[in-house]
Amino acid sequence: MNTFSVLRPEHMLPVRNLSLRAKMIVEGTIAGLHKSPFHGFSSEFLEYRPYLNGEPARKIDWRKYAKSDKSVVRLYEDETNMGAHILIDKSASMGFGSSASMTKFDYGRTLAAAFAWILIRQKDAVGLAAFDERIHCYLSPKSTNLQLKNIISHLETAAAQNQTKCGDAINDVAAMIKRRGLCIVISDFFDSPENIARGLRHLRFKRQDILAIAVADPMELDFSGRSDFRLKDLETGQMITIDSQTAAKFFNQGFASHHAELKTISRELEIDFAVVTTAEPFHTSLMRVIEKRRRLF
Amino acid sequence: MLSFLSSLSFFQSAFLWASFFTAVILFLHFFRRKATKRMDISTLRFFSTAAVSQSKAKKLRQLLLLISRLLLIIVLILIFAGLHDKRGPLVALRDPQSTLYSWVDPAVSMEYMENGKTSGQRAEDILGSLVNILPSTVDHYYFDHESGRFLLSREKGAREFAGRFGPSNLEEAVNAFIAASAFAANAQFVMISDFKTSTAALFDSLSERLVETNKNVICVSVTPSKPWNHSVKVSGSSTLKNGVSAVIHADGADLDSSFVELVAGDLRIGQKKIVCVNGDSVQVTFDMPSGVISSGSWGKIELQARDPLPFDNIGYFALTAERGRTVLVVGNAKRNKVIAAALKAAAPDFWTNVSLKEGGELSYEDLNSADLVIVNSFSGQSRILESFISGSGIDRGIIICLDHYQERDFGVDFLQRSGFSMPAAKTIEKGANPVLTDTKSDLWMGFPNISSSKARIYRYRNPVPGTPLVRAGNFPLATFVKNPKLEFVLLSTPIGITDANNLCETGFFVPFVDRLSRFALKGNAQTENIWYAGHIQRNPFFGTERSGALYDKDAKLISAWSAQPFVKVDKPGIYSLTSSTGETSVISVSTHPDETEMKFKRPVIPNERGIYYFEAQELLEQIKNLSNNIWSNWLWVILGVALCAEALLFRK
Repeated sequence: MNTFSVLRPEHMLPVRNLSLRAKMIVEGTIAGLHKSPFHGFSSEFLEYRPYLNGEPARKIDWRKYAKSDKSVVRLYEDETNMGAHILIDKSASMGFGSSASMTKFDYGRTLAAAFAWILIRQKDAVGLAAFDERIHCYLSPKSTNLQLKNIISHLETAAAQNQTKCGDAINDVAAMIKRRGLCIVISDFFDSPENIARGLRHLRFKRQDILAIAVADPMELDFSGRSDFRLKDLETGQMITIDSQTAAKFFNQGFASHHAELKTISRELEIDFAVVTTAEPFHTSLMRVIEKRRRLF
Repeated sequence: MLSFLSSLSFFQSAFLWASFFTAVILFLHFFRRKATKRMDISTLRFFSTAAVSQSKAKKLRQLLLLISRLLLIIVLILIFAGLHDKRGPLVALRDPQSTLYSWVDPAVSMEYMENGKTSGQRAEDILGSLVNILPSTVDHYYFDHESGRFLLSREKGAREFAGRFGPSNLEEAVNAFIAASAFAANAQFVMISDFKTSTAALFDSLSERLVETNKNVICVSVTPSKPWNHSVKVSGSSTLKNGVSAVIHADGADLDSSFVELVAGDLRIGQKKIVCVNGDSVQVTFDMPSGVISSGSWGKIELQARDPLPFDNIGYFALTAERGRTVLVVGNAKRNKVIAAALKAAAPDFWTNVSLKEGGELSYEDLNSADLVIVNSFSGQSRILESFISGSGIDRGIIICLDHYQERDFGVDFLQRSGFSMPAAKTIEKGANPVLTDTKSDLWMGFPNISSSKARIYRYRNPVPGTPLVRAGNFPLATFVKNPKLEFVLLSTPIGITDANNLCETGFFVPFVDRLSRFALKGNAQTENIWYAGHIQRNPFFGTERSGALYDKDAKLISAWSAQPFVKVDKPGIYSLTSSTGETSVISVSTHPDETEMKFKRPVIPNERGIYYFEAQELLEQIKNLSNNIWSNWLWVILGVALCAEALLFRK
């Protein structure tokens, strides 16, 4: 797979046509051209805006509040490049795809490349961490085009294998991050919610703004079938035989419950959590993620 | 296990074709069964052990559902096909395609009253119980004793028992059953009787024929548990002179503090107290007051005692003058005159009509009207006489004398044609004396004590067949020949005027001829006068070109007798018989002694050859068990279980 194939224009063009640049608040080093959605921790004051209920109280400008008795939030205009990390899960479970064309990993790394491309275009520094049960590749954030090439190259060569220890891997990445920034975690999050929460909490501790993207196959969202199944776990190789009804009942319930827990964790840790499916067009899922993030800020 | 399986059978095996539906069920099950799809999946973390267990449970449930459905179909098929254990004797009665033929013994002994119900009614009740458990499709034919045929019964339940006098008609019923069952696929024969000794013996003689039919025969005994009976039998002929005698018999219980009454006409003549121990008989004689009762009157002797079988407690009699006997002497009339003279001289009141006929003059009427036929000095052949002796010898007295001189002697030829060896002619120049070895035997009882030394036999034939009655020297003078076809007295020498002996010239001749003639008559002397209810008798008008009418004592016409050889009176009593020429006589009809006997016997049942024997109670229990057919019950239970399983296991 070459760069072009990963960042195919038909994937990226819709994002551009939707005036991503025009709507973004922060655009890294080329600030002003676009408003980046990935802002929130710059140093140059831009303006006040009213405090909205639900926003963290730390954002309130207490000095202004003392003077005017109004709750306002200070908006800053970035002066420096944002440091962003893209964490992509390359465990074997990501290799699952009910349709032959696109596995979850394919979809995830396409998204990752897209994010990297966007961020590099915005002159933001982007790093990459690919992990399964441990971190296999770590690129510290840089804003050069070479970095984009490196990232894309790593994404191209990565293969979905080994078991998932998502929480531990995120935890390890968090330990390596020095400065505040943005973390985009692309995974199916098939790890225990407690582990995941621990890793994400660690990232939050490192003052990372986190965008968690759960990649799911359409079949995982609606597991169904007419025949009995002989199922093989891609990670463990374990096999079970189960009838379709029981399989659908348990998988759908388990999957929904797992995602509900992830959402709860995300809410607690103030993390943007989005679920995308491999059947979804890239521009749709990208726009959905970006739009969601924009609404929050 | 094999014997168990081989004992199973089906009433309607055509339903087994429905087993095809099990194949349909199996086909649908396996056809609709989804093929297992092999698939890789991102994670199995959401499939707990419970999921696998639940899936396995579901598969198990589907398997159980399949089994229950197959069971349901199979059980339904078995129920419709009528699965049963064919070893049970009564099970075949549940076959919807079977036909039941029943015979209830109509003997009067079935009137025996026990626990307030007659044996006959118990038999009908049992039959009713049996009929009630039959499937509605089964036809029940009962043996109609009047018509002698099986008639289709239109009603369920017990019928009214009606006994009848006379010999058992079991053979008639068996013949009718064999004829009817030839066209019935699954015919069953149920016979219910008290199995008197005679009936059991009759059944034993018929059982092989029943076995050959390969049909189920169910014998049910309603023999009384402790039978007892008292009976009255009028003995001998009742005359004004001798009075009326009756034998009172106590069978199974003592007879005490009881009375016997004599009623003549409508007059009660006398009464006597009777005491008789169990198994013994007492003879009672009533003198007839001639001033009051005239000859030709009738009467009865009645036992006044408690009795479970009361029909034989009355003995009927008709007062008659002693009837004279007719003798026909066939052969050379000149030589035979002395025989007629001897009989007339011996007992003119008894030998009232003695006629002489040459062989060529004989007619059937002559022979039919004779009580005794003496063939003596008859040279030649007579087909009429020969067939008469062969066919009627048992009914009549016959004496055949062999002639030494005669060529083509009838007696010698008849012996040869009847399969006996030809006796050779013998001569004793000095003659041989008749030897009377026993003057107390049946033959010589009452023979006058006279010397026979003057009597001489010079010529005779020897050897002659039969049991010697009188010997002369070292050869039998008279023998008694008796076999199933023939019965006659045979003399080895002629007894008329002859030079073969000098018997007719001595005092030995008259009593000799008289006693020999009476002996020849002995076998039928009494049966001719005694009428038994239900038993056939020779028609007194047969061959006489006369007819008659039978009336009961209330002058009601019972039957008309004309040319039929045999007649029958159904019930005991006093009847008046009027001939077409206006002569009237009284007949007393009694119960046959065999019918009053309380002797029963279990018939010999050929083991496991389709004939089954039950006591009444045993059969009722079998019927009860059959009603609760264990197979049927199990099948219904299994059906219920299968339905419950279907309801519990089925998931949409």
